[in-house]
Amino acid sequence: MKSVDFLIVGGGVTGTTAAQTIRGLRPDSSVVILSDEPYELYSRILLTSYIRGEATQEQVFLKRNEWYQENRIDLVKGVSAQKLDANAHTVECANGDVYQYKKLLLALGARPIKLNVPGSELGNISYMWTIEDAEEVINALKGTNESRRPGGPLTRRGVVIGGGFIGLEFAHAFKVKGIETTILDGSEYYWGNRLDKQSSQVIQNILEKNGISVIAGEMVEKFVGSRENPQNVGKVITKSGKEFGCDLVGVGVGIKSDLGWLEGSGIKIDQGIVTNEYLETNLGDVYAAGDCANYYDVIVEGQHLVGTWANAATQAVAVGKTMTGVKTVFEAVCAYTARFFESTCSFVGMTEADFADEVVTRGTVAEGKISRIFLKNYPSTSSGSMTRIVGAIIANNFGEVAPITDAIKNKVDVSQNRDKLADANFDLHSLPIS
Amino acid sequence: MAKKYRIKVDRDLCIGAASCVALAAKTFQLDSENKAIVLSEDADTVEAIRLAAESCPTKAIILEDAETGKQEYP
Ligand SMILES: Cc1cc2nc3c(=O)[nH]c(=O)nc-3n(C[C@H](O)[C@H](O)[C@H](O)COP(=O)(O)OP(=O)(O)OC[C@H]3O[C@@H](n4cnc5c(N)ncnc54)[C@H](O)[C@@H]3O)c2cc1C
Ligand code: SF4
Repeated sequence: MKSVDFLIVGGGVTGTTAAQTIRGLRPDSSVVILSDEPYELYSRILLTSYIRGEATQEQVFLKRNEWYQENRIDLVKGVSAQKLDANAHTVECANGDVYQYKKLLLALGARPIKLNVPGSELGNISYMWTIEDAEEVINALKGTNESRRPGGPLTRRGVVIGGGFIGLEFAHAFKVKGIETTILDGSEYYWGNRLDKQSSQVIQNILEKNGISVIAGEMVEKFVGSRENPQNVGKVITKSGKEFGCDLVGVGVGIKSDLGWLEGSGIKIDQGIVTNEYLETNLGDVYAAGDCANYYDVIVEGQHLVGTWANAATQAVAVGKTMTGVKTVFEAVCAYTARFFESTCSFVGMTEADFADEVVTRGTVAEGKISRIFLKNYPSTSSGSMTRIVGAIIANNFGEVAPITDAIKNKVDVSQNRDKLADANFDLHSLPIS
Repeated sequence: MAKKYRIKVDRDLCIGAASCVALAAKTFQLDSENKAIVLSEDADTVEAIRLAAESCPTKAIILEDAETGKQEYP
């Protein structure tokens, strides 16, 4: 058994930034990161640039081995944590190693949900989360190029399964690589699980303008191998019986944290690991941060699960301080902006529909930009109740991200301006920041 | 003299992920194109600036020693 002061499970941006913070505050402590990936920290955000050939592998890596040595952070690669015993303060790994910790940070991130249909194991069906995934996509792109038979169809065809951020990244990358691309989305309309119909239409119009076909209401029934290379995908067949011939497939049907190994540890889980505003879990000396944490958001006053880089890095700093005894409330409004074909789609703050009391829509499909602002009523002490913006989904209306973020952060009471919010000509910068 | 950085943002690399803004709010801000701009070079601590630069997912923030001009990150 190895004893460490600070044990961190997960070597993504959360785990690494927390380690760096802890090292700065506690120069003499021992800090160990357990990572089931065999790499130093790399940027998931740059994976698509890497696939598109706009970033080198070297650029994708954010930390080198020497950095860990200089900072005396022991990165144990390729090791998966498998069991937590909170009473004994131990974590057991799949390879049998046991670590005893004084403080434990769970920075487990999330993983893509895998499609489990006949043919899922065929070649050239890729996901996009790890550097291996990116290499696989790059190989699939190359492979389909090389295997092109004389007399075969000239253009390569790609199918993207799932509307959403990863689906957009795939579609963009495929298109840049000259692939004829179709997006299949299982919802009633494109990206229907997160967007309203109008915002969906705004994004779909942009995609179609750039030559991508978008087909909603189609769930994958199975994949079938290609005639020339039966081990590789050649066709997607949907539940309604439609067939889409293809040379490669990109899947982006959602992400989920892998928390099964924590069952039985007594830790509270509700989609993510539940924490308070200090990122403390219900177990003593155990903390969670980043994509895996369902934390108490002091700004919107509710539990919140966020999957963004800035959120991960900022939580990591806050939790690193708290773990070293400088108790720090995590307080930030995070935004995620997807960029595709010179356009954007942003999610800011809390965008769970059932959290809000009302949703206001600004802009129209014809204008090609829509902001949907999520409002919530809060009881306030003297002046009656107040209405605040808690989040927004902003389709191709990028200029509104900053004022909306400010309004959420500053808890601006918009009850006086409620009716104006729906008017796209009303400048959100003029909301009073009290 | 206390250490000071000269701070640059490579606008071609910046994607506006804003972790720099979240970690060193007196130093970085997003402009109307959603790119980070430098507000000040000595309003946050050097540690906060360093962490903000190292947390950038695209390595868009370049730190130089203000005195020697030597690049320190990335
Ligand atoms: C293609 C792509 C594009 C993106 N673009 C953006 C963007 O534009 N803007 C934005 O804000 N965000 C973006 N993101 C999301 C962003 O990358 C994540 O929010 C961020 O990486 C989360 O960091 P994390 O450290 O919490 O989790 P992760 O990066 O997922 O790291 C967690 C690590 O823990 C490991 N782990 C899990 N369980 C165990 C275990 N039991 N034992 C050992 N190790 C374990 C995992 O393998 C992983 O290495 C993008 C993500 C992808 C994939
Ligand atoms: S963290 Fe990097 S990419 Fe994000 S806004 Fe700052 S400089 Fe730009």
